[in-house]
Amino acid sequence: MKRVKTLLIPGFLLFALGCDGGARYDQAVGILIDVSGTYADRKAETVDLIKREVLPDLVPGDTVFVIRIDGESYDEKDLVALMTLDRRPSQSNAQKLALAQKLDEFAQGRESASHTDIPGAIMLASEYLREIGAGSSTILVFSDMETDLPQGASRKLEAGELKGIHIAAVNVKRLPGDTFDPERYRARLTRWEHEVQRAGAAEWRAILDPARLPPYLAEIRG
Amino acid sequence: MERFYLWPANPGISIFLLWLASVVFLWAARAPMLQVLRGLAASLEHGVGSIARWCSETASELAARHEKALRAASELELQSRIAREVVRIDDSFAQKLGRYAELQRKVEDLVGGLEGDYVQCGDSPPQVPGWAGAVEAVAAIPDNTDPNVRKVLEGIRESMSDAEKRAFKAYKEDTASRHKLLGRMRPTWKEIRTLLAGMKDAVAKAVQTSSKLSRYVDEYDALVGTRESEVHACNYSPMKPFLTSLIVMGIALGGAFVNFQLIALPMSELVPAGAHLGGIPVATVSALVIILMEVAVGIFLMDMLGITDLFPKLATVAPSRRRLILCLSIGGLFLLSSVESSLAILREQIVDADAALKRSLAGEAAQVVGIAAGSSIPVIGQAVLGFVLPWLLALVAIPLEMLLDSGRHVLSKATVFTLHAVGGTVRVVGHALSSLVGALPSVYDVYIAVPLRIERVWRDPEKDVIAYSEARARSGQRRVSRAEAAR
Repeated sequence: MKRVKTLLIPGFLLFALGCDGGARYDQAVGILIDVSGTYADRKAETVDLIKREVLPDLVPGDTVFVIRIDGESYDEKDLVALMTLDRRPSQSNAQKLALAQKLDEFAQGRESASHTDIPGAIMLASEYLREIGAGSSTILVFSDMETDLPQGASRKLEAGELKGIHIAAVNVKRLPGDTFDPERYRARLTRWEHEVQRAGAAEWRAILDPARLPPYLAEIRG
Repeated sequence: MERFYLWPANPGISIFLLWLASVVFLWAARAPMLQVLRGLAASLEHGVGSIARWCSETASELAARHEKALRAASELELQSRIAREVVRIDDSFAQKLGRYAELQRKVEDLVGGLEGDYVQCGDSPPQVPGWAGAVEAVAAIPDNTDPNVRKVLEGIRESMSDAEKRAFKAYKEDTASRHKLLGRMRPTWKEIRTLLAGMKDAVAKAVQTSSKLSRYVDEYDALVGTRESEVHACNYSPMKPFLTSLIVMGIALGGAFVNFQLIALPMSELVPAGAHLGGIPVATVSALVIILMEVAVGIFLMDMLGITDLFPKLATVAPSRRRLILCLSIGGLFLLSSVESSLAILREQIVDADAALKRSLAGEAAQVVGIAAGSSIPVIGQAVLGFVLPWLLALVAIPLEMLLDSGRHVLSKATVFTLHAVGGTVRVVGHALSSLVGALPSVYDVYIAVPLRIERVWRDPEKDVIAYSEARARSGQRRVSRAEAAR
């Protein structure tokens, strides 16, 4: 009996250690790139930025996908790339290179949309993030954050739709009118902040310096 | 507070009435309240005293046990020193005195040879023939004129002279051969002197070692003699080995950290990189497990080599099995070292691949900056480090044993000190609290001083004396006289 107890104690400790409450430590990053209006000419620059600041710090097991923001972004055709990195670092490096190549091809494209459907892209990204169910979920929006929906289109972020998702607007381009009236730019960002928080987002942040992206993602990963 | 006011509009009168009510109530309840306060003071004093006494007694008991353990450790340490000295003496005797018989035989051979030579060197003068006296007498006859007689005498004289010359020559030759023999004996004597000097040296060393052993035995006898006495004659200090082992363990911990850093990254290539165990990546846990395994194997190795004694049961295992465990430990350590060495090489490759990926993702401009040095020195260095570190980590068993041995004494001493300190503090705090609580009845009486004074004016002192005397009788004490009770 004593021997059984002796075996049970370390067994229980191992079990307790092993039971991690099903916690996940991987990260899913959805990247939304605006290809409409004034932001269309920034596509190559944005892709370079993603390759430089986002891809290198992703670790095996992480998921990354890129969605194009155009006139009707709530469309699976706007999903440019989706990749879950392999558990082995060597394989995941090869995947990152392949993704970088895919992004380069995307950057070389001459497409330009006449309308900007940011909410649609966010809704699509949130659906993918929910499906992935990673430990931490983030949406990075590269846009001027000015929504311009085609006539008849309707987008509404439901309450709780962005639950647990961190959203960051990176490199937000100032529109011609913003330089004359900075309040317009600030009001635009504030409006977005209220909207995503109403939809249950874990956090909203506007990042001016792209070099802040790696520490931001690391902070979310925890 | 205001809600207790009888007339909220008039707080002064309300507070006065409240005070009055409390004074009357406390005056009425004076006897039981004082009893409660005195009981509280007594139980506090008793409780604190008990705690302080327990601390003191436990500390004394622990100190006595610590003393015994220290003495036992001292004896053990001295025993091991004596055992070590005995082994050295054994080796020395086996080495030095083992050759004694050989030297003795050699000396005997040489002495035998010398005796033979000496006998041969005996000085024997040449033998002169017996008739030599007669011939000499004849030769001494005075010269005669007769030519025939002269001729005969001349002949005799010449033959006599020839015989003398021959005898002298033989004597010279004999002496020369004896000198030759004596000359041959000189190196033999020198050799004998050298051998005797060697023997003297060996015996002197043996005597020296014996005297050292004798000193240790005397010391041990003295220690054993004082075991039963109250004298603290123990010169064994656990602090020195404790601090030394602590420092060495700290250094070993640093080595383990370097080792861990060396293999943590490449382990992610072998185990699922994203998986976690208790919030820690599995790769990290695996690297940690490998290092702990190296330490464990090192402990077995040191035990089997007889350097440490962390598993006393292993000391009783048969020699053949000990050899088997020793071989397994060495093999396991070699295997782990090889694994670590290859992981260290893999690490360099992963780091290179990461750097290349980052250069590639950063674009052309950064690629120029990030050209690798192309030197193989880091790879070789890491591989060697990966191979050597496990063997060095295996040595951690020695300071670990020292730490466990000496830590027990240090911990015991620290516990004794803490218990004494706690006991002292409790005693001081208890005394202060007891004084404070003891003063409470007086404070109580001060608060109800006015009704108390009125009561004393109106109360009959005779009744008090009777009540006091009866109360004493009820509690089993002797009755006192009126004068005593009044006092």
